[in-house]
Amino acid sequence: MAVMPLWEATWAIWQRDVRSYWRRRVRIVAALARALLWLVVLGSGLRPLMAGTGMDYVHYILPGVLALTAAYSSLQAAVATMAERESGFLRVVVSAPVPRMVIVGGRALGGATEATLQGALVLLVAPVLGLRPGRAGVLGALGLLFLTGFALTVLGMVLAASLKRLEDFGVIANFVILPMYFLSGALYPIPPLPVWFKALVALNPLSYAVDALRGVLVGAYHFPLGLSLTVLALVSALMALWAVPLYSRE
Amino acid sequence: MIVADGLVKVYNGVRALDGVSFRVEAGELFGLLGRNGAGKTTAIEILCGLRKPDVGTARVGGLDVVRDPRAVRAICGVVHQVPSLDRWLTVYENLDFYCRIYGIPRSERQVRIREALALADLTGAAGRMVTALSGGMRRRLEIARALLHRPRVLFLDEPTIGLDPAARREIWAFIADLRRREGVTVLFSTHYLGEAEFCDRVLILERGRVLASGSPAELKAAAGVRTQVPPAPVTLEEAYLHLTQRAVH
Ligand SMILES: Nc1ncnc2c1ncn2[C@@H]1O[C@H](COP(=O)(O)OP(=O)(O)OP(=O)(O)O)[C@@H](O)[C@H]1O
Ligand SMILES: [Mg+2]
Repeated sequence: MAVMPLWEATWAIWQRDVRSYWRRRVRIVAALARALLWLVVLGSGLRPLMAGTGMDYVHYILPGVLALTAAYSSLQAAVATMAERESGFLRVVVSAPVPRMVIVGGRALGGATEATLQGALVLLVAPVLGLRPGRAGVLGALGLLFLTGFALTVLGMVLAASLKRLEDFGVIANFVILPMYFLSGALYPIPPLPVWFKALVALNPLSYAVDALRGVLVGAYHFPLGLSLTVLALVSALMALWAVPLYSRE
Repeated sequence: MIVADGLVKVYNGVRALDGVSFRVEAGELFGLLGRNGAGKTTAIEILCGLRKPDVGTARVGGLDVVRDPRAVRAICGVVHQVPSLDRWLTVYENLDFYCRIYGIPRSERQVRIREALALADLTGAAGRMVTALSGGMRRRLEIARALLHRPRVLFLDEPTIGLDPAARREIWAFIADLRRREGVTVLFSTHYLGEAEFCDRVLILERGRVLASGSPAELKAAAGVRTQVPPAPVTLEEAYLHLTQRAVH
């Protein structure tokens, strides 16, 4: 098959994903509410205790909440793929003469787009919390959300493919997302942490997403931006290589 | 058109197919019968390049389903036993999505989608969400969709499942019309024996093995020999029950 139809098929899956995302608006609202809950409840509640971060605590956790939002949308997109494998549109795609790569690619682009849109909604609220990132900051954050969403969707597709029962995914998702979130420097600064904790943070791909987001939004970096981008790109590539064979039927 | 040779498929210890061989000639209407779990769906999924057999080979349109599954998928249309319409898309969007996944050029999509809508008698419903269609309308849409890329072989896994008699009749009229116009080879599975009466040939699967095959008339004759008490069966359903030894006396 020529290059054109491959791209056409990927684009079709992407478009279908974004359309159905938009048609499930309740989820969009629910995800926004969850993000605001973190920001307002945790942010305002811990603000007096966390003067040591060197900035307003709500501003400190905003990048982490953005990354968390991206993580939830991505994993949701990933699990939809598994659900639709036995019925629904994925069955049509696997019966079609397209390589499996297209399924992973199209879905990952869809998940990345949804993560970006969902993050953009949270960013819209930022001025209300007193944070006004410049245009460059916003554009940078959107780009990072896309890259993060892509990496996490493929990671989620690998996870979802190895689960026997999809109902378990809700539990697994929290079991994966929340530790990644807590071990990412999303909630507290990294330098004062003990060495073992620092090591876990350094091994966690979400740390690089959070750190880069914080960098572009409020100008404070722990890791060099180049390193963070490389880590996210590498995770995407490796997970994609792993995911493709999982989505072939025996 | 279809040649299956010694197909074996084992799912964690269950022999879903246990050495199945048969041929379907070009243009035939071929029925696959057998009780629940006999292996019909497994056979269909192997033949349309969706699953790999553990042992055995199969060719569809001269193409090897194991070595060249993508080429096989390109010439096959499949209507799965489980519904596979996208509930988040409209009727039109479902058809358009299919066209793009099968690499139908943009210039032809409009025409083919219009034809498919007419074929499924859903022209007026193009903009509706598929969730707003009745079961019969959905099934017709799935069959029309499977024809968008002009397949040479059409696999229908229980195409009339859950439909009322009128809707079933409509679907079969639709398939007959299609065979007349496009000359496609059709292999379908069903539990409604009445539907298999009009097949050129049928094959009965039983626990993953071929129990009997031949034209409906041949099966009736074969069952007639087994019937101790005449008269011989007059319907395929009676013949089927005799052959599978489930006749109620
Ligand atoms: N994905 C699977 N994993 C494990 N076992 C399976 C799987 N699919 C089918 N089987 C088993 O293989 C056997 C044949 O199943 P198959 O779906 O091919 O039967 P069928 O003839 O289509 O039945 P039905 O009339 O109920 O649709 C059954 O025993 C079934 O339990
Ligand atoms: Mg079946």
